[in-house]
Amino acid sequence: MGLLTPLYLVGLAALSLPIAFHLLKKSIRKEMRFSSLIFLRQTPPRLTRRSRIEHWWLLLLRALILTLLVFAFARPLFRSQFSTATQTEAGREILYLVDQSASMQRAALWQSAMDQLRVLSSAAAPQDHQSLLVFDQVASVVVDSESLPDLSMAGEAIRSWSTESQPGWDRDDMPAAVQSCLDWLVGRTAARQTNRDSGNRPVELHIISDFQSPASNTWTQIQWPAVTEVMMHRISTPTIDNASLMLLAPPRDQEWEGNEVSVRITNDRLSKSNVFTLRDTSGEKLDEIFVPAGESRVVEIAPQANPTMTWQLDLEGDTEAFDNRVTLPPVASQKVSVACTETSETSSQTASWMLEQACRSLKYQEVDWQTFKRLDNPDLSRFHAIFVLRPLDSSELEAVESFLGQGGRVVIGLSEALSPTLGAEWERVICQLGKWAACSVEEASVEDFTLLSFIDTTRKPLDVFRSSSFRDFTSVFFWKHRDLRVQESEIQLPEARTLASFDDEMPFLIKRELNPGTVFIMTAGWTPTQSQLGQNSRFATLMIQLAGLRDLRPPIQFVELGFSIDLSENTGTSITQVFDDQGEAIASSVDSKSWVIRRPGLYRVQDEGTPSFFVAQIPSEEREDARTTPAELGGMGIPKKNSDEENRSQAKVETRLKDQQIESQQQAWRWLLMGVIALVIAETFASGWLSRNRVR
Amino acid sequence: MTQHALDPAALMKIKDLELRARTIVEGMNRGLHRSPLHGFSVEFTEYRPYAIGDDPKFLDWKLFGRSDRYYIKRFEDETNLRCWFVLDRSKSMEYGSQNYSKLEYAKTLIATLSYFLLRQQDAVGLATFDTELRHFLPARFRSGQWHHVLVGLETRAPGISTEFENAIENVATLLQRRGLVIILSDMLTDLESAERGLRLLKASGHDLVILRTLDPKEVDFQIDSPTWIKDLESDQRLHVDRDQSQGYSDRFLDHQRKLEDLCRRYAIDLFRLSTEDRLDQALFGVLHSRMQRQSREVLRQRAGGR
Repeated sequence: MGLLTPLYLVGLAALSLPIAFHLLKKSIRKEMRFSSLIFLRQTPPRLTRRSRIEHWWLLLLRALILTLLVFAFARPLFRSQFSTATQTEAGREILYLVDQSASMQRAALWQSAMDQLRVLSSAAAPQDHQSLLVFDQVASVVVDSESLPDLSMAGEAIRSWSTESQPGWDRDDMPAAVQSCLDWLVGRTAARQTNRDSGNRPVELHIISDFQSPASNTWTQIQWPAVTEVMMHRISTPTIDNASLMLLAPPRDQEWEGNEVSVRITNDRLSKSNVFTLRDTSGEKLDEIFVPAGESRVVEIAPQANPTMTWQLDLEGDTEAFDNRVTLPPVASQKVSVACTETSETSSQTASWMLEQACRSLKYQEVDWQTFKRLDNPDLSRFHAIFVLRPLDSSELEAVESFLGQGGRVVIGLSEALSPTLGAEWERVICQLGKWAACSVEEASVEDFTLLSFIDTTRKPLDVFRSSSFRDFTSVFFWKHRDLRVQESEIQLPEARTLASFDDEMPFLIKRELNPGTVFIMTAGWTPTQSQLGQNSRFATLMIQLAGLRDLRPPIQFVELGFSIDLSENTGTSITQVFDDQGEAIASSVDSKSWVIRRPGLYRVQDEGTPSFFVAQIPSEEREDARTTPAELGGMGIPKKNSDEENRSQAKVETRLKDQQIESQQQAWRWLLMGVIALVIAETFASGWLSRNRVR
Repeated sequence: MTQHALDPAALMKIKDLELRARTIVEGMNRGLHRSPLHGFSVEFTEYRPYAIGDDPKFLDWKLFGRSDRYYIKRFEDETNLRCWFVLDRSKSMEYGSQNYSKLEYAKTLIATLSYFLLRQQDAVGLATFDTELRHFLPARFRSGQWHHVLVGLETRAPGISTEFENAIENVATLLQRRGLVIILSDMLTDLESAERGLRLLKASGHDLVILRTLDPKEVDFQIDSPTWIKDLESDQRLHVDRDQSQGYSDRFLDHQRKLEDLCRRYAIDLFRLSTEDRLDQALFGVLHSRMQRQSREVLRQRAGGR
């Protein structure tokens, strides 16, 4: 039994009126005016036992009238005969779909989800068929009630799993997961029907999630079995305070060079903290960053050189730690050898000395700088690059050509003013090394000074000057330079490229790809007598780029979770192994041909050659706090049940409508009113009879 | 049951106070013819043996004829009586369990007595009071004085509670010459306060008479069920059970005794009138007892004189 308008029950307070009337009627009889009270004494009104029980039956009659009237207004209804019996003897088909995505890594969130799962599982009836599925991008079955010999074992298995399980790291796709869950259910039901099992059971789908995925139209494409009722249990943390640390990959056409890293700190829009600290592996404080809620900041951090250890960067300042760490590969301090010809200059700032200083400015690499009087004696193969600052004789040219043939780099610097004889020697060297049919080198006539007017920053190695702040060479004056003209030979070679030229349209830097080997020719010097280039901050960068010193680091690939590393690619006789950021081998080509990255972190794939590194990070959408409420999914055609907190008001409305329908069919209030009328008539007669008796 | 013509219930149906008073006096006159008490307003005479130097015209020759002795006939007071009626107009006087109130009864008494006295050529005055003196009419004997008295009686005063001491003090200051002061009140007041007022009047040499006018219900308080009693003067409410009657009676008698003691101490004539008493009989009763008292005083004075 229920009441449609239970507020009217307040009217039962009116029962106090007839009671009070009956009690006080005897005590406060009448009022009399009298001349003086000086001979009278107050006697308090007394409620004697006799007065209380006098005419109790009349009191009961009046109280009954009021009670019936109040209940008539409250409009009673009897639900039992109308409520649909959803509980069948066969029990329900209960599916628990638990979100196991990375966002569930938040503190206490997973524990809350497991608590919820245990509560739901315990509340199920013994005849219910309980199954458990977990999902990130797809759903996978953990407990299938039909694969167990006893129904009660399903609940126990679910509860047991809930105490041991951990959340995953992948992104979630709830609509896809729900669809795969339903597909699994439909397939199982079909199998059951072919086995002549009982008919369809009412299905309840409990989704336990933090509802990280944004509401998308894919929900509307889900095919729901007719009897499915979906109950969404949103798990949320009491307070939201999360900032995430994410390693930024370099632009697509660049390789990550391991010198400085860019990390992005994103603060959640509902976060309470806004000051965060970055610490490295040793716990040293690197930086303190202010990031307002809902915003992000990019910070560049220079990792320490350590050839053996991975380098961890930790973010402190929020309460959620699951997305606060990035791991970087070890930055090796490598030794590189660079050879240079001696020059005849006598000043302290010789061209070779300035080059040496420029190359030694590298932070992470130890540069073995050697100058030679002649280049035909040493073993040039151990050098990474050779700077040629004077014309070479034929034996030296042979040695350098041999070096080029091994894929080496040669930088020819016409750093001195030319005499006619010197010009002819340079022409010979340039034609031979650059494999040109003919060339001419002359001292260019410069009035006052000239500037660089064109720099090709779209290609290596000058792409480092792509940023507008680095591209500006207008402060570099060239007092002198050479005029180099070349003629292509018939040999099929890639065309030489002018990477930079002066404002008099004469080339400054020419690149000649020889396959193998690369030759760069600079037509101007960098000493103060030649130009201001050597005094400019960009000089060191330019020379390091020309020597190709930065290309020596192992590459790092940014991959997503779920990326499969092919271990069979490089295997001949050698073994390829995958190491995690702790240096432990976690996979080997002996065991399998590929290995899938399931956790965020840094992975090193090592075979005989140089190691390759893979960085996998938590999907960015999993770092943010919940963006979807179950209420937002209301219009997506999901057959929800009114059990969730957000749906409770809707459920109330539906219940009320149902009650109104039942009440309008029953109309019990009419019977109550008729009873009231009958009782009023009886009361009237009874009162009349009583008053007549009193008069007598 | 037939009502006597002077029965107050019948008499009070006469709305005109003047007519009511005349009716009573006429009825009384019929009785007076048969009464041996002729002319109480003439203050008594006394005899003393003749002494040389006395005016012989005051010799009582009739007494000389009976006793053969010379006696001088002496008048105590040569002038007529001056009488003031002091009426309590407080709210309590408006109470009446009959069809009329104590005030109506008292007003009728005053009208009757004043008519009676004025016919005997006595001077009559009127004062009404409640918390203070509300109306004052000096005692005079003149034509139209009775009408002034009636007007004074009919003047509607606010009438709240009784402040006996204050009101009587005001009256005392206004009464310059000695006379008879007849107070008509229920005396349902604090006796200590009343005593102070009465003592003041008595000290001024007035002859005091209190006609205590009470309703029969005030004498014999009876209720048949618990009742809220509301005081007419203060509007105070008191819940009273029906077993209060005996207590009321005891307290009323105690008050009555104290009042009688007070009157005895100050030689005040106290008469208790019930509003259900016939007016003529009540007046007769008053007059009779007063005459008796005066006679006793004359005899006492004579005895004292010898």
